[in-house]
Amino acid sequence: MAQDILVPEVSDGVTEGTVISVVVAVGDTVEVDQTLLELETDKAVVALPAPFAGVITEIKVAEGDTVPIGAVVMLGEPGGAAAPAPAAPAETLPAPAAPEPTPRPEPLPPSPAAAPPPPPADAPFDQAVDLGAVRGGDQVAPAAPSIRRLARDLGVDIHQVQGTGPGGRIGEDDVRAFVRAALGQIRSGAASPGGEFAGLHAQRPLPDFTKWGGVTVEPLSKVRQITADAMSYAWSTVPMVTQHDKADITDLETFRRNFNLKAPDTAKLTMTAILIKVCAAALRAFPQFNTSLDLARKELIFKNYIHVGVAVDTPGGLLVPVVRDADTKGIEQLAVELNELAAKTRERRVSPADMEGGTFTISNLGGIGGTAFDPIVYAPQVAILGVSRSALQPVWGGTDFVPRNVMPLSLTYDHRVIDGAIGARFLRWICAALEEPINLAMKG
Amino acid sequence: MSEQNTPPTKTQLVIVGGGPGGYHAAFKAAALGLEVTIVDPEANPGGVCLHRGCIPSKALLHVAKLVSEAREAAEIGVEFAAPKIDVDKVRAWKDEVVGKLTGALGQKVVKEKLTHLRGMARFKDAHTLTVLTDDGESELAFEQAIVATGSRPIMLPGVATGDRILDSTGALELADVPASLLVVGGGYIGLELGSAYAALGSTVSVVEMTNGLLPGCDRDLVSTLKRRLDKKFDKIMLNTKLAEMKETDRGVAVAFEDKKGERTEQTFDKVLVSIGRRPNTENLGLENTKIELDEKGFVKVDGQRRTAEPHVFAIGDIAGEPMLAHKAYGEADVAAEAAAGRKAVYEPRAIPAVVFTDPEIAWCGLTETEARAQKIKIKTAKLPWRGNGRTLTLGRDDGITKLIVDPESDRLLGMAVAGPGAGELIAEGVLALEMAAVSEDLRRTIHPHPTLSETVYDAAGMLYEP
Repeated sequence: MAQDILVPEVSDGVTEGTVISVVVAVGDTVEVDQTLLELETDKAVVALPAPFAGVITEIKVAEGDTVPIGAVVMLGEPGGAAAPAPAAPAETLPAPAAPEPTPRPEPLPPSPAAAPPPPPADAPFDQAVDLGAVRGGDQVAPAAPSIRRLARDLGVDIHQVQGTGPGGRIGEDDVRAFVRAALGQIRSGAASPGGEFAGLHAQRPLPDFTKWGGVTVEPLSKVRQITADAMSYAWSTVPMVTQHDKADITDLETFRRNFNLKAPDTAKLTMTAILIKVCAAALRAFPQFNTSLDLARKELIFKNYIHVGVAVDTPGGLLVPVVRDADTKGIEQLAVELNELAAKTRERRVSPADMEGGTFTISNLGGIGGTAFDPIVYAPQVAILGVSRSALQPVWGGTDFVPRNVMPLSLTYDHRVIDGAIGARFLRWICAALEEPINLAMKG
Repeated sequence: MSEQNTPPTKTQLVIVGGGPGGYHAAFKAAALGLEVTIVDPEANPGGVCLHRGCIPSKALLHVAKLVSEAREAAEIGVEFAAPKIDVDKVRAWKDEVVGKLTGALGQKVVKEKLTHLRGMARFKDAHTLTVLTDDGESELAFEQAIVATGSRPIMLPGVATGDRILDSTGALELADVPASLLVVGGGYIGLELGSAYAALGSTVSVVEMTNGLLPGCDRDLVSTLKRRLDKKFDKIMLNTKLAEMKETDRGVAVAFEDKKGERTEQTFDKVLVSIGRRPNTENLGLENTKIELDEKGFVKVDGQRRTAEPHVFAIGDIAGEPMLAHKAYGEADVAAEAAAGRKAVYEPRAIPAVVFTDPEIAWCGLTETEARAQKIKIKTAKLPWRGNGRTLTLGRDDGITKLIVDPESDRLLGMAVAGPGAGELIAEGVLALEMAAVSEDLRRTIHPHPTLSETVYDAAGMLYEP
């Protein structure tokens, strides 16, 4: 008996994902937990492991398909022995039979736009009609067939529409009012438009760029969509201030290099690991930086935990894995954890749960360059620390200029929660701790 | 016709079956721009409905109506001599009607440039049909398919049709008018054909296993019909089983067994077996696809009539009850639209049913019987036709119009009619149901006077008075 292979629960709030690669083929023998396909969700790329050892007998999805959690993506025959694949692969993955251009003299245009080409055989039937909602008899909504069709065309579940006609009959106006109300809710932010991201709803119509030359259009990846949404939300709702400061890390760097001479690769100490510890201590000293603002309830939420997110550059875009309880861990442990987390993230093996719950974020671009930048707060967090490239600079030592290794730091904070003076103090605290780490023990 | 010498090897949309579902889907799909091939064994499309069902039976029932009206005219002072029935001529006329209708469909196939393969089709796999025609076997690859192979009469186990034992197909051929005819099964087919033969001169008896004619139908309607059938038929035996049936030289010897187990025997010239129909899902090669059947043998379909092979649709009698041509039309539209990429779904609020007896019986939506069985709260208005002017001017006094509404919203849930022309009247009820009308809507709609349709207006007035 072939068994269904389902998309498992990935994380809270994740309802679907996009198949970015199918790793196995029909007929392949797989082991338990072997990766079958990779799914890009709102929060991460997850690998779907084989639930049992056996032979894959059918693959129901292709790269690019969006599949809901719980959907059957493959069928497999459990057992070690490789049985012959019953279904010829040609049946599940047919060469896309192009619809034959039929020279009919007068094809009637079936819909307002151009006639959609009939779907080629075995094309995925993405018809955007919820067949689960199709009812018959007295279960049919009290609306004329033309109104039911209108609702279907607009993507409205007519059973959610409140009819205002006699006995609750649904008319065209009711359907239109429903759509207007739904759009109004989206605009006011009371509802999120399913599947889309709110940030782009403010977008103005784009000009036709092809008027000035050729263009190539690429679909946004999930990561890019989420980033765009998060950034436009933060930019348009959070009044932000960025302050810059510099920390003399000459002594710290000396210590770090010496330490790394004897540390194994997995335990190599990075400046980011040190910064996690320093920031965690600073967040304990300045708890208002470890909060979230709830304007609707007029409350400030202080978190009794310190989870520091670290922005990681990956080929697929920016991801922010989170180091948990950073204030309770030593720098050595933080270094090991960060190295592992960063590696996982770059290989896109990080789980959505690994990227949730951050209370503060560090974005270190020092490895690339730059003298300063204004990071954007990762709402609903209230502060983020940007790190630029450290460089040897002449520093006045009292009698003469001495070469010191200086690291530029940029702190952006939510000005609704944090005042300028306290922002300056927080950043100075961090610099002081880096310059003379004894401060960590003295103040932390 | 458009049979071709070299059959095509591929098609965009193939329709298997040329009945009402098949030809309707074919024309609709062609109008939407698809290239269509239709496979059907007949020279012209039409299926059971046109060749061996609705149309020929209605032709015979028209004859029956003329005969019984002429006879009843005596009561209102117009006396005709007893009718002389030329069976050959009646049969020829019936065949002519069938020929005209199916011929017109054949011409439309040519005009719409559909490809018609005259033969039988079988799935070789989910994308290929094996088509068997007089010219031999060929393969036809398709992108999408609509299967509409219909249904056929069920025979009693161990009984074969012949000269004396007929199914509905044989009865409609009208080989002769037997002196006595037994109709086995009190469903609509048996009652319609029994009525026709009775009018043509046969002594007709009906045997029904359950306790009433037209099982499942509203009892108010059935009793209206039965009052008249009791006069036209020799005997209506309810709660009676057919224990034995033997074809002899002189006729068919039949033994009945009633509820108490008592047996009676009688010989009839002919027997019409009309105990139901079954979907034609065999010999289609469905086992070479993923298409599944339900426990009753119907093809499982979704809200767009797609089978488990999403590019293959099933419509009409093979896709479930009710096995009615107009239900197949509705499904054909949906399947053809969906095949052309539209968002159509099949969601009728009501499918009307009509029994073309005299009086006719018709209903749509929820029936009172169903409502009582499912404990759905309803309010009904029952209007006997005795007070309707048009009824009386037709020389009739039998008939009833019944409206079933939701007591809360006053919305129409069902309508049931018995009486002459009930089949025409029910269309108003179907429209009212689809439009989600309330009884006020029906009451405020001006109905023409004097017509039978006023009974709908008057019944609505029992539920809503402005």
